[in-house]
Amino acid sequence: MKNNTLNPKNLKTVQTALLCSAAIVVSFVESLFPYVLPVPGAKLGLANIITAVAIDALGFVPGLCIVISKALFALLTRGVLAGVMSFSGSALSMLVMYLFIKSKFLFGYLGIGVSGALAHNTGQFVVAYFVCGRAVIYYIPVLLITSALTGCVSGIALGILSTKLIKTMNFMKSGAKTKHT
Amino acid sequence: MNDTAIKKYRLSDFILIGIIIICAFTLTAVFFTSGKNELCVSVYQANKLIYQKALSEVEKPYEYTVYGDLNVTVLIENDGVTVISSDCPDKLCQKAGKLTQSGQSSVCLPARVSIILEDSANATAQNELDGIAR
Repeated sequence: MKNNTLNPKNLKTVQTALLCSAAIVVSFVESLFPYVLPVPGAKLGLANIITAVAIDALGFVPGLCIVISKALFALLTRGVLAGVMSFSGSALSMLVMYLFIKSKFLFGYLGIGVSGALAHNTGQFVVAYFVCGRAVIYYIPVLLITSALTGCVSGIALGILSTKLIKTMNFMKSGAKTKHT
Repeated sequence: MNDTAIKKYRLSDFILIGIIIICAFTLTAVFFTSGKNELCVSVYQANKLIYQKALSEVEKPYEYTVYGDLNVTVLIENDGVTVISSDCPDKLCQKAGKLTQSGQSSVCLPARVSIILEDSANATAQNELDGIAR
């Protein structure tokens, strides 16, 4: 098994790539169920979980990689507007989640999920405002409620998943280090 | 070294959720209880007001079509407004159904068309603001 030794830096790249593909698959599968919530255009935002795990376990740059690859996927499959909206939403939510994950004592995973969903909706709302004008203002209450709901779902899932996933990934890291040295 | 793990739930999480819900209900109250003026429909395309009509002046239901890269047809009636057809792929604007109350809106992002139903006083005030801004 000598060939299995892996430089920790390479391992990080591999893990980032894995999480990128996971995020794309999750957001694609999610888009196959158009009406989880009885609100037009609302999605659960499950890919936020993957982004949060990536930030938590790997750091800022891998999180950004996921955001960019998701936006590229949306751009290629659903057009320019979808790509821009995906990027603005998930980039803002990534920044917010990064801040709250790094300042560990402000929010728990539930709050991180909710604030991430809220930031995601805010980012998309800003783009929608520039595209459509003030008609979307009336949509703010709906967005707030849906982001609270979807944020709860992704926050709870994040709480369950992240401890296990991060443990696995750290285990992979320690294994790689000991084999490498 | 990394023992200070993030908790699953904190009190601040629930406070955040509470604040969001309170904000949502406050905004809803502000948007939907602004006076009892007559309703007025405004159609915007690419951020510009292209059509406005007070619903009380509508005697017979009629269709109004917004022409652009993607055409959107709106049915305007005495008691409400419905998007009846749109060339966009997702048809979210059609799924919004019939707008009957002040503050309701239907937006078609791909066509950059938005239809708002609001109090006429509110609508004219906003147009004056837009005029100043330009």
